[in-house]
Amino acid sequence: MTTRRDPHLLSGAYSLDAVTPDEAAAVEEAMAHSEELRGEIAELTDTAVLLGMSVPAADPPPALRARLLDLIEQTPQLPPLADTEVEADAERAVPIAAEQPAPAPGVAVLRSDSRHVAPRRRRRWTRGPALLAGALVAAAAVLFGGGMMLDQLVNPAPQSTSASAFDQLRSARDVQRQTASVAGGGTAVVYWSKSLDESAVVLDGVAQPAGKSLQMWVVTGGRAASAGLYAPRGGERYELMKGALKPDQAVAVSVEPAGGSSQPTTKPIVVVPVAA
Amino acid sequence: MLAVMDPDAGALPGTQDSNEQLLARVATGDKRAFAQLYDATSSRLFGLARRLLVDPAQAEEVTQEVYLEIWQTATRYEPTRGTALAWMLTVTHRRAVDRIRASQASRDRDLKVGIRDQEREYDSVAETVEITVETRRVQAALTKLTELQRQAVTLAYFRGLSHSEVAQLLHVPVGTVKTRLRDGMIRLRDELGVGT
Repeated sequence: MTTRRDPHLLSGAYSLDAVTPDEAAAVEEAMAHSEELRGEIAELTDTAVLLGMSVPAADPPPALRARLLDLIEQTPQLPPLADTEVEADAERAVPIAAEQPAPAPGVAVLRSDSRHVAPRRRRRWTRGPALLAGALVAAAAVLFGGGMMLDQLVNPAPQSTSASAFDQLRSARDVQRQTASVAGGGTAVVYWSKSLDESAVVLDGVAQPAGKSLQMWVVTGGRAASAGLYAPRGGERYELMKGALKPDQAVAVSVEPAGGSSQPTTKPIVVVPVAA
Repeated sequence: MLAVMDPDAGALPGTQDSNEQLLARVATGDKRAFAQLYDATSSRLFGLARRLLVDPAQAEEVTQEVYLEIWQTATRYEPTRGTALAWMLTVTHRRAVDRIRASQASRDRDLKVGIRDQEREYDSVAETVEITVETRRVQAALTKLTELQRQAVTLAYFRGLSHSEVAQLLHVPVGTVKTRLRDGMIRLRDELGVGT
């Protein structure tokens, strides 16, 4: 499943939500570079909408309306996507952090997320997840901004070297990738390269839980070995792991007490099998 | 607060806002506009969710999820990208499919018995015909597809199957399904005059 695919061939399946998360990511990557593909997917998605319009309307239970009107009272709205989104988010999302010198990390994640969807170019809404991932990240910033700030202060780490290491991994000749959905929303992508003997985990749209840590595990035959905490620095959203992954392994991420555990103490929020 | 919570307060008869206008007001935090938008669109969204999920309780949950997402992200909707309803239906389909995929185990079980239900599936597609212009157009356009294209597109869209599930169900290679989905959607697009 990690062999080369032609994303163009997947435009129909993509517009019908009939692709795997991995393929969706490949299509989105290709869209960033191809005006033609963007156009085709826009049109096919509009076509899919017409299929949706042909489904008979049905009234939802009346209680849903009342419940939603209650829920929106407690649900903050996201700031518009714009070049100033990071600043706008920072003000809105982490007011407590106003005196802190460092930028709020949860906020910067938004920027690195939108990097994948052609910065400054108008984003289409054809695909929910990109938008939702941003939404969840921003919501996470609202909910967990304080916690992430603490984490950043407790674990300051250099950024520039590992940034290039990740880029190196991602562009390695033999890089492989697997994607899985995270329980509660978001996606996890695992990269690994045998030649570099290195792996990485990227969580998109996943909140850093306040007062707890996200911990990565390499699972081999039912045994989990810690691969360190998932605590990206400086607004990045990847974490590197030593060693490449093998086909019989899986990577899991779980919520653990702050600082991590020697063995998982909660059900993982995501398990990414190496072999598809 | 009461005035805000009551969607009908202040709405004059005959002054119907478009969904796009409502969504623009939702983006400013207007809760009454949200309620009006809900009233104008919820039967469409719930109808689609129920079509995909079958179970009304799950359809209700997904519909709730979708409206919350709309509330949160209304600030990011741009009218140039399509109508408000198109956006909302796209989100609904996606979230319903997410829900279907999330219960993959039961899905696999369904697939095993699904072959039996295949014929019925097409019947029920036919049954969904409402006497509306859109439905007639879609129905007519679907007849212009090859049989395999039509089966693949309808199974993917109306049942939320992935390409590999469609392949399994129709006993054709996955690669074939991918190209049929693309060819079928392009044909539909042309028949329905999308993007021209």
